[in-house]
Amino acid sequence: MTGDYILCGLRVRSSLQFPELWPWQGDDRAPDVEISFDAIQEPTEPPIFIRTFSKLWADGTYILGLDNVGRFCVDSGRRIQLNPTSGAQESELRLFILGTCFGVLCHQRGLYPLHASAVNINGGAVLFAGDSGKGKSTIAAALGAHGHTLLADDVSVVDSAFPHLLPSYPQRKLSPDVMEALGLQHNEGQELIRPGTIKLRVPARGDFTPSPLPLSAIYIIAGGMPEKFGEPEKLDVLSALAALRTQMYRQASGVRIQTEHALFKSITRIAQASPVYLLPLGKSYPLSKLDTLAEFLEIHARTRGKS
Amino acid sequence: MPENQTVSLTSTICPSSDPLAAEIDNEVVLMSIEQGSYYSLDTIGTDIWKRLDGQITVSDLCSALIEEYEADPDTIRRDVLALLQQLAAEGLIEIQP
Repeated sequence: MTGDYILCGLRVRSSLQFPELWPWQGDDRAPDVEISFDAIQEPTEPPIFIRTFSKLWADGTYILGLDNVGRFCVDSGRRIQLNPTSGAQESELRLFILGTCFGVLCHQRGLYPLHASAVNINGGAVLFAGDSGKGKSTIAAALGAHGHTLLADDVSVVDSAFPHLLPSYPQRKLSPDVMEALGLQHNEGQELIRPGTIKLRVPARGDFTPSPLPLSAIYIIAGGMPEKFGEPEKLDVLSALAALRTQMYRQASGVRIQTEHALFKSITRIAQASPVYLLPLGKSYPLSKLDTLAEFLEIHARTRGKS
Repeated sequence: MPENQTVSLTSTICPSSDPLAAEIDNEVVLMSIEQGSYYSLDTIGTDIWKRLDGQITVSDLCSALIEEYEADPDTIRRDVLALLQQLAAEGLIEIQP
């Protein structure tokens, strides 16, 4: 069964169902991206970049192959083909399509994906970037409990031409202890994201707005004093550029798909549009104090972000 | 390649057609592809960058800066030539002899 969805402003037609995505409600344009089940043919020429699970070709074609999940091919910024291994779970297929595959597709389209979660504060997109485990989703969820709607979890896609954040979908990935700290109910159907991981899919509360939002502030989560958070430090221009580059999602593929010029333009336009702060946050910051952190960030983003 | 372009006082300087340069908060930032790093120009460097309109000669550029900063002409010429040489080596400007 085919469905049409909206993802980062794109009309995505998919033969695999995505309950987490919003149905397309825009104009009757042709699909921007098609996701289909297909046998995957590798291009005949040799790849330019080979990693353990993926290969990349000079024209940007990207193939991801995972044992017990399947093979995925992303090309031309318009197409994702998948060939699941028998017995693969749909939730895993969706995870890799919405994560790695869509990240690569963004690079093919000249968009700038950041490893960040984003919330809407006062009509502006506030991003929290950082490596896995730094607390991106947790901070976004804590702000969600204060009524700030989720724009993107884990991967935030910026169209640097404007520059605007292109919202993805209203679902978070949270660990059970964070859910408990925020008083979120653990309902049935919140399947494990991947067998063996402890995070759950949690539909975000509040109204999701799929339209692009201007950037307001970007916080890079950095290590800090244990059990504490510190005053965010505004990065100077050069540090901001370097941080934005470091936080690029699927970096190894991105730098080979996009030109250095295109990436430079994206990064500098983002830095022109939004202040970039370093947010010191201790790894052992207590979940019981999430509310204090959310209150602080809410005020900081309102007063120090670009409105 | 840019390295063997020499800058003299009569050279005309213009930014390359698509330089890795941008202005953020009144600061000109550049990227060196070779080193994969970003760097910024100081106040005078930024001033020089903004004066590169594609027609200006090194000599005119130096005269303008000597007047603007009331500085020692020899020092200005030396610093300007050094900066332009560096920008040319990074492929950020083009030099017509």
